Amino acid sequence: MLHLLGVNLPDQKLVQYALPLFYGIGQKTALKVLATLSIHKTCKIADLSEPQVNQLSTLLSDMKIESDLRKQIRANIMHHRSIGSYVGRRHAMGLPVRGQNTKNNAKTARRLNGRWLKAEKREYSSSTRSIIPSAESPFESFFNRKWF
Amino acid sequence: MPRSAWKGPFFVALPGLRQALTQNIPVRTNARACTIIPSFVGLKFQIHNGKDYTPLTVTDEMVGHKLGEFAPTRKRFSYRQTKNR
Repeated sequence: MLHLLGVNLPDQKLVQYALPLFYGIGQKTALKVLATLSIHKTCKIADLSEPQVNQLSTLLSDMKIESDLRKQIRANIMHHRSIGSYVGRRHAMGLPVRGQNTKNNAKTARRLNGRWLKAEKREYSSSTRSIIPSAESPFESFFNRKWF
Repeated sequence: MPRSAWKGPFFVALPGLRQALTQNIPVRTNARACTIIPSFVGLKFQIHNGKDYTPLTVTDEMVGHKLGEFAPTRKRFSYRQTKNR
């Protein structure tokens, strides 16, 4: 059982299918990681050598995953909530945000949409060099957008 | 997909802007599609929602959004069963 950045990776799993256990890594990024590190697709977690594990952990700690990603998502949604926009209101009500119909069929939204606004529990901070999401204010991002 | 950056932000010439800047009178507008520009920060608006005008004070964080996002157009759905059955 390899313990990496707050997540347990079971030994007998292929690396390709163990990496998506991280929040923020899906199947595509997992394959990209394997390609960058030149690990073949049938390699299992138990077959990774020590320097490979170190390379993997440095590569992963440079990506935005786990608690950094969650913080960014929560910050984005809180931004909408704090300015009082339509998007923030819909998140608060737990309803679809992107203009879907609500007469029928809003089940996923009703299940999943309020969760970022509830009080969060203390999370395991992923890496030692944790990347604090650079909070560029909308003001700055407006100016930096390079209008012609 | 948001508006292409090379086109510049979409905004409208608002007639009440000069008075708003000098005397702090809210700007009454139906232009919900107007983007909030940095020069609007601190001003008060009254944005049309089809029927009334919703008040809004622009803050620093609202800059890239449109005016209409802050004026909801529909009444909250509430189920009231009528007594006549």
